Amino acid sequence: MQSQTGSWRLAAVLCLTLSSACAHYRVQAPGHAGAPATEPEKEVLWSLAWGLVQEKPTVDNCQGQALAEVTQSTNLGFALISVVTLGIAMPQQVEWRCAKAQPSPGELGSLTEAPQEVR
Amino acid sequence: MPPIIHKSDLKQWQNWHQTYTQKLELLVDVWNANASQSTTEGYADTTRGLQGLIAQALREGLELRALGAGWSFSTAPATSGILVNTKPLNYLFPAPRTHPSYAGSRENLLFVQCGNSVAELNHFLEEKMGKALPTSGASNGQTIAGAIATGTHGSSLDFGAMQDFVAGLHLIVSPERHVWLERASSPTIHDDIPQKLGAELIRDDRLFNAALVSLGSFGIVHGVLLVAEDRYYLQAYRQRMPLTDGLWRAMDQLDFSGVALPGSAGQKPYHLQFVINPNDLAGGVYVTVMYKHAQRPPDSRPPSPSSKLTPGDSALEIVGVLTDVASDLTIPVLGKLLDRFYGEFSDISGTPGQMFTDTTTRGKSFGSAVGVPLGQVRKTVETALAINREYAFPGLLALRYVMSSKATLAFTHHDPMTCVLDIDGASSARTKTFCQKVWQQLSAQQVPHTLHWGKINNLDGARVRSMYGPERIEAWLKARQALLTSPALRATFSNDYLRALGLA
Repeated sequence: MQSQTGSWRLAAVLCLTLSSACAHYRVQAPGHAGAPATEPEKEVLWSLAWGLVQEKPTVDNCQGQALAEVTQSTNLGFALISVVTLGIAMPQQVEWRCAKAQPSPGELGSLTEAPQEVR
Repeated sequence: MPPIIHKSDLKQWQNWHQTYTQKLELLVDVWNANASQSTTEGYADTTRGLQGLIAQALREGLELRALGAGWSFSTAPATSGILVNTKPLNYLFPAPRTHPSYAGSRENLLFVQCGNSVAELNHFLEEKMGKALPTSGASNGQTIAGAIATGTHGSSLDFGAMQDFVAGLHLIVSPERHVWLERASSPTIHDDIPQKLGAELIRDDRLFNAALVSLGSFGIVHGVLLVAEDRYYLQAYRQRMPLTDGLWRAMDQLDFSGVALPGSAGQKPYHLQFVINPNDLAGGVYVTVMYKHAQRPPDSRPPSPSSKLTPGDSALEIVGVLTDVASDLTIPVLGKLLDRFYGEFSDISGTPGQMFTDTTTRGKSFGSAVGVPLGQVRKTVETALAINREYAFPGLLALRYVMSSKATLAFTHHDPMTCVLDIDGASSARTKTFCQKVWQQLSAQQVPHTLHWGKINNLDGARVRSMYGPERIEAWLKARQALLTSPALRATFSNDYLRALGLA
């Protein structure tokens, strides 16, 4: 019983250690385009069968605006999965922030409706 | 059309400098329905959308906080309830109509929505209006509402902190009420405009001064009326100078009689900063001086766009860059990196937006800032240096100066000028302990001082009262009660930070 508890503890410590050490690669749009409008959203994406099947992130929070930055992260746990499965399963984390809109200036107090944006 | 309110799946939020993580009930992004064109109707629709969120918070008994860029090191913007991301709200309305008695130029006025970053404003003012902000912080990713709510300051010897160029605030204070607030002593906006927005017009110096540095707890600041000035250029020099008595006098009292500031030629500096590596005093103090000109000085070079640090960067940006290079910032590493990245230069000039850029560094850093009156600067710095001799920390000290602010709870209220001592270092227990030792020593030596609301400060109610005095605290609390008229509203716009400060 004691040995089982010890194994669980060891596994928990191992998981925490493996998932906490990360390598990041960040791509950010230059200048104002890189100013984020949102907090970072993230997903863990899996690439299966050496890239034959690839998950895509569901970016549903940018309201028609571009991405300001994308960060790809991996950690020791993800690397181990990739090695143990000989590359059949390769997870990685993708994080993104949406860019701001760049509105034209308006006249404060003028109640003439401007033309609606065509998207 | 109502604004787009996107509910995020995030159940916790981390500030930009990663000093803490906060669990929360709901994070929403608010976008203007037509994000590409600033319109009065769109602005008014977003006001109603934000009022709907306040109504939801009241209904569900949750706290609510408007979130800017999240640059505060302190937990000022944190909430366990509803966090309203206002960064997408960036409408711009230049030159609004003014009150008949307004003596300034209408062309200098700009009304902006709360989510505009200072960098966006610099760009718009300088490129589209031929204007500039009178001052700004060293780096400009903060939203305008967030920057003024925590009393963010620059380092202009002729101007106060950022809230001091604000002439009007549009505040949403309940599901049914929103107000346009400005000083009775200097009416600025034409009466028609608040009316068209559906806002109640209040002209009251006491309320306005209190609401400027609100710590996000006077409601949602939806719009800010700024007073800019004609575009100007800053000509910058940086030199490492020995720590002589003359330099001490310059730091302590802005008495430049015993020191030859770089590039001065008899001109008065507009911007001044001293950066001290407390572990390398023999190498001297980095002195950055900027002089203000209406036109770019001939033959002066623009700042290098590829440089990691810009001429306006302060200790925090330096530490941010260095921790990006080496995450384990030890004292020898810091000294070597500082020599490499923070060098001397002369005759570089640019607009404020070019000299104080939107830094993108994100290394885990720790920032605190102490405000002291002139005449107490040497004592304060010597206290910090003495502590460093016993308990060295991997960081920098920086001194910047601003004129006294009118805002009730401005930490830069010391008269006639406040010197801000930034203590910035790698985020570590050692840096935190170092700062605590400095704060304790300043209190023990009865040095009058205040602490930056948006940086690490570990303040409690008793210390806040002793720093600001009961009159300022009561005036601020009374103004908050006048705007947030019910206990339920005041509870909605409270958080743990405010309660710890004894200001809820």
